[in-house]
Amino acid sequence: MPPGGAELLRYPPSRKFLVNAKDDLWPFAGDEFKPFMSFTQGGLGVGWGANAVSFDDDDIKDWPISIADLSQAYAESCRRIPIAGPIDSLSPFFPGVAVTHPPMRISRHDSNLLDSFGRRSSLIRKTCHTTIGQARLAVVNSPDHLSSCRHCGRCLWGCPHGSLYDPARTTLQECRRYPNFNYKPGRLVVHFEAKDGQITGIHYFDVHGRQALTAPCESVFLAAGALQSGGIFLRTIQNDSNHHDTVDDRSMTQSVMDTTVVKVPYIQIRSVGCSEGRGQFQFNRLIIANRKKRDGSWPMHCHGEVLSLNTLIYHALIESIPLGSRLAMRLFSRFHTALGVATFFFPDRQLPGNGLSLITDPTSATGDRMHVHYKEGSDKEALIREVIRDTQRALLLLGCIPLQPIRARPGSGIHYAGTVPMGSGVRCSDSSGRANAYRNLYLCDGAAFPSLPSKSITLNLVAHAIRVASLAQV
Amino acid sequence: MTITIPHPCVLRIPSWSIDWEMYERLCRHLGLTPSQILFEKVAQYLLQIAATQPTPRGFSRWLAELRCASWVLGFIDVWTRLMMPVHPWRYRLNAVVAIHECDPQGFDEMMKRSDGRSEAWISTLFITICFAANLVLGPVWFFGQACLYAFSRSRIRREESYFIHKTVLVTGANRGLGLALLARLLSLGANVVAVVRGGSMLNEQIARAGFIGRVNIIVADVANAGSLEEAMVAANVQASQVDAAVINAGIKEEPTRNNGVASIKRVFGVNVFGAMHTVEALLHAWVIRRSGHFIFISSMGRWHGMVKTGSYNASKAALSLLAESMAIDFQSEHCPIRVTTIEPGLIRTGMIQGSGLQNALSTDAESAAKSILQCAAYRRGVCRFPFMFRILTAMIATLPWNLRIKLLGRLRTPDQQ
Repeated sequence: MPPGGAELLRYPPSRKFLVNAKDDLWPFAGDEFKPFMSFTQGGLGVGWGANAVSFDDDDIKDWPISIADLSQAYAESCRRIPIAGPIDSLSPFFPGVAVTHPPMRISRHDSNLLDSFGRRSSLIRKTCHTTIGQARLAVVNSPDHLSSCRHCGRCLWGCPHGSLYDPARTTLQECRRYPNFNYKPGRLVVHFEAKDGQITGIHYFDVHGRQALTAPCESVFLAAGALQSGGIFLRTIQNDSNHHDTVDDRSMTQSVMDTTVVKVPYIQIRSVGCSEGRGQFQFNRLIIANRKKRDGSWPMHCHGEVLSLNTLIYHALIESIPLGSRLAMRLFSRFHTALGVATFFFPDRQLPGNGLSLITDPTSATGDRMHVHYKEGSDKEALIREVIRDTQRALLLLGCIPLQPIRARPGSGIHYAGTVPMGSGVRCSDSSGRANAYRNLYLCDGAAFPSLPSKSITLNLVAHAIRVASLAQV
Repeated sequence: MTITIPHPCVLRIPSWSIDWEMYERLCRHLGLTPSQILFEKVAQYLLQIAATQPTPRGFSRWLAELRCASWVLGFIDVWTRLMMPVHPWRYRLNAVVAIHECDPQGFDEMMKRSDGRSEAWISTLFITICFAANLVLGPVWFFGQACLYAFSRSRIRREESYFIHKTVLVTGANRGLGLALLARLLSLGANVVAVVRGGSMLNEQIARAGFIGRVNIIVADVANAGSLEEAMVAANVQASQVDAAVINAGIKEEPTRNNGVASIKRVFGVNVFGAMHTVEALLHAWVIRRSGHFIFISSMGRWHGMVKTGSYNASKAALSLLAESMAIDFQSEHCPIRVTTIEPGLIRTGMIQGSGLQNALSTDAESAAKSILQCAAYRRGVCRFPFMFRILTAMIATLPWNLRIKLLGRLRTPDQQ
């Protein structure tokens, strides 16, 4: 819609799972970092683009663990999550991924891009350090499965056939089969009660009863999402008298991280005027990797997703063309199969000054709001420039015209991590994900990541959670 | 294709509204096939937008309310995109595109093209030429519109400034002219106290559109003495809070030989005594406050009799004379309360669905509401429209009695036709 106008069908109604900044339970303050959050069952995982890739040793070289420590957890993750993808030249970069379904069908645009890459791969790899291949996607894609993808083009509306992995529909349902599993909705955890380095109770806000309550506990596995987990942890150590004389700064979490998102739109000349069927998988079917040795401690692998614009919602794009609706629609119909965008996620690491702090706010359900302090380091700019330059060159070699890159605002990556990272000090956790300050508190989500690689985070979060659970002493 | 006549009880905010005719033109302009189901979705969406977006003012409002021909849409489309990206026309165009995109047939039409690269480049050249032509010719058309706007600017501004932030009571607001008046007052920035006999549908529309804070719906039968006062007390509306009242509630019945007097009583009960009950509910507070504006909706039928509408025309004659007398009384008492009597001709509402000559002589409810509020803003004592109907009425009223009886006796009511 026009700037400032109300949104019309930009997000399909079935996908409105994000908490709005005007909502009662919106927990954030400040505007330097605008996070996305959800209280839906399955959380932000419900809005996942289905990309399933794993870290490698180079990605986690500054972690206190190696890929070997995570290998069993990756195997278990791939058993639980269906992964459709090829075995190709990119496979060695994703050692934890075990493909269980054939790759997804690709469009003519994708096929043109892969053909061009196949013809000039050595040149592009050598001069632009870029590789393109088919995506690894968490989709059931074997025809013999009942829930196999039917290419109905409804992914954005929430897959009607259950082909896309959805944590609310699969993992939660699996948990419910256990008689001793108890799911308690409508509870917003505020902080934990602690005594002598042990968590003894969970202090929560009952959303329906509008009152604060406490439930006793023996062990806590915290997986509220890196930002929420960081907030809960920070409130806990701030309320804990045991840590009042600690030398660590308790006003802020150890850190906060997110991948910086930069999009490189392009026009593929070969696809101008071509038609494309409607029945396409609506998320990216191709991935792109920029891989080279880098200065500093950045990982070698910069990961990106290549999305051709043939199945998205178009009216917002049509309205953005400055020709008026009729001419813009005619132009768009001729060119849309040629349009694509390569979206890169840039790695992040702990920086002094970055972290969550709490600001008192009596109007909030928790009595405070989280302020995310976030600035990007100057060496990241150099990394971004380098990768984008390589990508633009690679696109030219692939017969595409790259357009002006678009950089998303901080918080758009939705790969939040590092609020209670593996490290030393009361604000950190150990290599098994257990909080240093509390013997029975386990950080199962991205909060425990000591650095954030470029690759999609979800499969790695699952593997981390499985590893934490397997090492926990309960 | 089956086209249903828009329901007389549909709320349409003038600057943001879309009717079937306009929707059809927009579809033709965009190369899409109109559909009744999609039209309703577009209309509903625009109604919601009207409640959340600021009301356009000045030339922007003039453009938004323009009933333009198909060939003009090209200029509006390109130039609003370039110069006014949040104009109601942008919302209309984009809503049509967006809603049709979600429909399989609409999507196919949007993306219809032949499969070929050369065709695509030729199309691009054609699009460029069209765009350039729009850039050259558009300003000429816009200049013409700007001149027309400048000519009528004072009238438009007067209406806007007179009603903005005022509280206006409208009786009979749940359909026809009353509903159009309510919508126009909302678009002018007024708050409305809507008096209705049964308000469930209006309530629902107001709630769905998001105008809850600006419309206070009161359920009362103005024909019953004291009913309006009681309803106002129940709804916590004080007469002193109301700045103006549009006394619009009216009914029309065809008396038969069996129920002649009862029917006349019912018509007078609403059209005359109902109006006076409304005046009674407000007058005391207004006299103390020494301000207020009564706008009586009478009819040009009050000037002569008519086949099967004797009770209606007689009641309107009574209303016009009562209003005139009231204005004289206020004048003699030096009371600054204003009175405006509106005597419209035929209005296409639920009461009248004309055809042929009737259609040519009549006006739609939205245009009538605009004329009424502009007359009131100019504080005119009496206002008669449409112009051609006014001329016709003047001619009929001046005819000799016998000739008039003979002429009007030849007219037939719609059911006789």
